Amino acid sequence: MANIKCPMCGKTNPADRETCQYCEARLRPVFPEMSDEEISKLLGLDDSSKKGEISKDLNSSSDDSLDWLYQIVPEEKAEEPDFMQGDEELPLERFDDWFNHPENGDSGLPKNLFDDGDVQTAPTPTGDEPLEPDWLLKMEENSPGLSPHELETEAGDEESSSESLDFHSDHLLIWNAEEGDTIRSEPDNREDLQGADLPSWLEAMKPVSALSPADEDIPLGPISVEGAGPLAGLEGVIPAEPDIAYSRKPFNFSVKLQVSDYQQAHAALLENLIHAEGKASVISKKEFFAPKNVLRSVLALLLILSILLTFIIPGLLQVNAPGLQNFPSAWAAYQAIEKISLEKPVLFAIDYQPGLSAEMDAVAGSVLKHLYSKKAKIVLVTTQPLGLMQAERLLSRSSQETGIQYLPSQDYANLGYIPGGHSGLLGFIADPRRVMPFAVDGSAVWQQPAFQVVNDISSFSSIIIATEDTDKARNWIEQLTSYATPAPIIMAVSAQVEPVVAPYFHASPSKIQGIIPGLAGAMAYESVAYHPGGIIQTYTPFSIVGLLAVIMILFGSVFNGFATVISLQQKQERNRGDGK
Amino acid sequence: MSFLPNISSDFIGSVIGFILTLMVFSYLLGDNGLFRLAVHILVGVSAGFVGIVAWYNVIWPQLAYPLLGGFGTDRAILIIPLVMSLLLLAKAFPRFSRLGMPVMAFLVGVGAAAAMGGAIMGTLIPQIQATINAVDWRSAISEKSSSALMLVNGFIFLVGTVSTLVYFQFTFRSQGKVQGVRSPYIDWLVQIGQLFITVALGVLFAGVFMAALAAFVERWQFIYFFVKSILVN
Repeated sequence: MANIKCPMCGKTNPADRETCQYCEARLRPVFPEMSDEEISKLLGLDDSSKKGEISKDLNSSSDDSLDWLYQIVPEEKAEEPDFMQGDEELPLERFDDWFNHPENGDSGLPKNLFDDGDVQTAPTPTGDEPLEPDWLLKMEENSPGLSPHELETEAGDEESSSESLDFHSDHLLIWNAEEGDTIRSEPDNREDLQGADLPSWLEAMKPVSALSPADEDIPLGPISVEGAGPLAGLEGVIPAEPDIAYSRKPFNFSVKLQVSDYQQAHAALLENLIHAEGKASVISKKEFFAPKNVLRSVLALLLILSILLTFIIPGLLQVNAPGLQNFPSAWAAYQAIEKISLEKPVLFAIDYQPGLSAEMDAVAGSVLKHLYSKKAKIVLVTTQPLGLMQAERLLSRSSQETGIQYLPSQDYANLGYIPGGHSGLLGFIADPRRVMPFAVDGSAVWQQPAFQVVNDISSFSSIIIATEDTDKARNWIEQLTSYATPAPIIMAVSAQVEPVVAPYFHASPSKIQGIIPGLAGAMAYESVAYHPGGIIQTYTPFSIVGLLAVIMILFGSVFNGFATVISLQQKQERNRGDGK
Repeated sequence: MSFLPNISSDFIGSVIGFILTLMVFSYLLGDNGLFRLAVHILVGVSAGFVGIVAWYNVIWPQLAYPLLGGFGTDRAILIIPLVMSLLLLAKAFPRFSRLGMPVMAFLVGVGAAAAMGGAIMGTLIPQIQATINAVDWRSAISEKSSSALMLVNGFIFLVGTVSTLVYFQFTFRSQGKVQGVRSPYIDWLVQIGQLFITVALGVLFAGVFMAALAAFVERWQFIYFFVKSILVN
């Protein structure tokens, strides 16, 4: 037994089923198999006498009579707009053609349509006029076996849709004609149409009327009749998928960018950069004895020899130690440390890297040895991890040079690393006991007798910061001055930091009370604070090499200047030659 | 019986320092493996040392020990940094890195606030105040010894500060389709500011050079005395 495929869900069903067993969609046309009761139930008719007739009419596809339609006309007529009032009568003969009513017009129309009898009925067709349109009669002659309905469907493919729509529009029934008015009908000859006297609000609706189905310029497709499914037998059903969903050739859009030559040049440059990124560049082999390397080696050799000469022959060149009067900021630092109270500990920040420890050990060591000589209690901190190691190393060296032993937790406390950058430093200044409760050896430093006096940052007799980093130096000064600590601030800094911190010292009022700048400043400071200093051993070669380096820089600058001038002259002469 | 002589830890440290110093100075002959090895050792040792400091100086005494042996209130408070630290650790894993973003935002926000507060209260306002005071003729007169010199000095401070600040003005009001152009007076100030900036950068470079030169001298001093001690002994 053959199966039927459901037009809705696509699943197969037994051939004897009328509805889909999966989606309940109708598999067969409704009307041919409908019983009288079903039809009457569908149409809501109570008159059992009409049921058989209606069923007959519906089931016979060749007969388009729709008498039942006349019965559902509303009894009370609505008020008709003015523009619909006129003298012309509706061509009810064409209306009858459409419904294919063979009898007279009175019986053919619904009885309740003209119950009051005031409205003129449409003229009944005469025997001369055909009951069907001309085009349908022609097709009947060509295809005598087909019913008019089938003929109409077949003709839909050949004839324009506008004609089909005209057919329907011509047979529109005006149900609610006003009492006493005659039903107008459009004349067959459209050329004879007079301009309608329409109200202004209707004139404003012209765009809508321009798109009305009656417009012949709009091509419409043939009206199809549903063959299966729940809408089987109905014509002109809106398709489930709109026409736009049908595949069509996409429109051709121009892909040419509207860009200028300037933009194209930049795009090409970017493209070249991207391509060049993926290519491995060929590394040229460096020559060992390149002029650049030779020059660098010669200069280094000169500097090294000058250093070694000062060690090998100590009396060859004598360098006088700079006096402290040449460094007013170092002199101010010396005076500030001389005035510190020995009852309070000194806060000493060791904030420098091992790379610059040669200079910074001398600078910080000069101050530390001064503190050693005064037997001051020292609290060491740092804001960088490697500073912890530098602090221990500096203490050890200073003890060796001075011969004064400083004991942890008694004479000094190394609190170690303060984490957190700016905020960590600010926290330590605000509450040193809470932020750094223990020393690096794990002892509770604030419980020791030497450091019990410390409650906040103002409890220190002086604050000394040894750093080679401009940012760290500025950070310390900014956080301390913003907290308005009364303790004097002394900076023991590298020569590269001195220009940054000098404005804080020279300001009025000054924010820091002293600066010990670089190796020269340390040498001057040590010459006053701690006479048997060892910095002079480093300072002598430092001065000689520094002088030699300055001479080299000057010589190189002059040489480069001459070389540049000569090359420019050569270039100008070459350009002149090219011009000739 | 030991076959090794009695070697002190200082001597071992000096030998290692001597070798590493020579390896770094080999860069004078060009980039080579010895120099790169010394740099890698420096970086590795520094990273290891930082890790040890972070544990012994920060995590253990300030977080772990109080959590384990502290009192109730202190322990409860320390749960907050503990949770924040764990969330910050999540940034190491791309899948959970979003968990660490609030903590990172908190750190950056607090750090920026501290830095800004310090810069304004510790540098900007004092610098303005110092510039104003430098050209205060009444205070200059009270300093009988060098009032004229102080005024000149203050005038240089004022011009240097103003012209340097004007140099960093890069926005101009456009005049129709024509791009913004500085007025000639502002251009003069910019030129003066450029002069001050050049001098300041030169001084900074000189300081960097002196610091590097000090390290250079100290290393050759170390090499000389180390070799001399070996040769003598």
